[in-house]
Order: sequence, then structure tokens, then C-alpha cells
Amino acid sequence: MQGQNLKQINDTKISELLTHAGLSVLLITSTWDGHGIIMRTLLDGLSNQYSKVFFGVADVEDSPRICKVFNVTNPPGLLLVRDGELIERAMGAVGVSGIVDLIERNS
Amino acid sequence: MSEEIFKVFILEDMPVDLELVKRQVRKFNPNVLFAVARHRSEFHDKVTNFQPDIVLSDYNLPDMNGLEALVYVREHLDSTPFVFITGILNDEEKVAETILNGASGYLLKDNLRNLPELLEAVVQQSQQAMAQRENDWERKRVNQIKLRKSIAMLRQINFPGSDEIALSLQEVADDLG
Repeated sequence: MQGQNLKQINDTKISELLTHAGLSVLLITSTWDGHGIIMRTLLDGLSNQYSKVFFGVADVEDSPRICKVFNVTNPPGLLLVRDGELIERAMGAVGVSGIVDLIERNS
Repeated sequence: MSEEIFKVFILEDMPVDLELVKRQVRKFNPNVLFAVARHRSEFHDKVTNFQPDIVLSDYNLPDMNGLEALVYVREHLDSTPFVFITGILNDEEKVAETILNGASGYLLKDNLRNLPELLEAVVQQSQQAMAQRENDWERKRVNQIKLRKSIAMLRQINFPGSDEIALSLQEVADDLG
């Protein structure tokens, strides 16, 4: 299940992410990526708490352009973008406190 | 203008200059993703992971100079274009040194409005190398996905030695990055 505030992103929507004013959090994962599936659930919950932050999720197989832009071949990858600048890049599993810390540090 | 995202790494410690450079880059290509470093450790942490299409660097930074940054890029990012944007690179000897060390060009901060034109020329010159990098990267992505999917499938089934095989493949995948 996906909440209303966690948006599915694909290669056609990448410009929206880069031109978004303010903080965006993007998870690159896949259906076979165990850690990513858990992180997706965490982001879904957090997206209801941080209404000013844009939360997106992209599939590593369906979004080659997004993967190239963020240099992610090995999911999960968590990217924080603000006003077109990549400000944080966390590869591998990140727990809820780690994600919250990244958001709070960059909000 | 191409719809491809232009990835620009900026090494600059002055916030005002950083914003001016970003503004000029957006005039060249509005579809841009930036990454920024303000000092040496941030530069080393970020630049290779970012895999930029181009590096724009100030010459004088708090704990390093632009030539050190250029050498680092040449060692770690092969032929990625590297342009100095600086307020002090104004003697001929220094200009010659930057070119001999493999910079793609330089621009004085006073002439920042010429940056879009310079980017056009540099990107044009490095198109072949950029296409090659793109092909190499895509091959790496496809191979990583095949490997990761195989590991995930292996973890779903159980036979003697399956855990050891999955672990070995995981180590290979992690090593490939």
C-alpha cells in the first residue's frame, strides 16, 4: 500500500523532482530489494509527517535515466535534493531514525 | 536543448559566487542537477559518487587549490571536463599550467556571463567521451540488476549451500559497487 504523499516517480517525471522548490526525498528501490521495501514503508509514514517535503520512489529497473542521474546501480539508494542540488546520497539500508535525521538536518 | 539531465559539480566556497555560477549554468541547460563542495574533504566525499558531466572549480579554496582538484578528477574520473572559474587566474603562466594539467578551459569570474557559451563548446568537444561513459555505466547497471535479482531469487529457495552462494554473490555485487 502507498499513501497519498509518497509519489511514484519515473524517467518522465525527473524534471519535476529537480525543479521542485524545497526539499525532495527520493528512494530508488525494486520489488526484489528487501531493504528498499522496508524503507519504502518508512517513507510512506514519514511523508504524512513532513507535508512540505516531496517524497518519491522510483524503480531501479523501470527508471534507467533516474538511476544514471543519481548514479545508483545497487538499490536501495536514498537521495535528498534541494532546489536542484543533490545534498545527500545514502546507499544501502537506512533506518527510520537515520532518514529523520537526514530530513531534519536539511529542512 | 537536450532533455537529458546535465550533471554539474561545483567546487566553490563563496555562496554568492556559487549562486551566480548556478544561474549561468541554468541558462545553458535548465535540466540540471548540481552537487557542491566547499572544501577538500567534501570534494573527495562527493565528486566520484556524483559522476558529473563537468566540474566547475574555483582556484583558491580554504584548504586546497584548483590544480589539486584537477589532478584528483583526472585520477578518479578519467576525461570528465574540468573548467576553472576564478577571480585570480590572470597571469599567463598560471593559465598555461592549467591547460597543461588537463583543464578543459577557464573563465574569470568577471566574465561569468560567458559561461553558457563556454559550456556549449566544452560539451561539444567531449561528446564522444560522454557517450562512452554513458554506455559503460548502462552496462554496469544492467549487470548489477541481474546479479541482485539472482541473489534475491536464491534467497527464496533453499538447497544445500544456497546461503554460501548467495553470500559470495553478495560480496561480488558489493565489490562492483
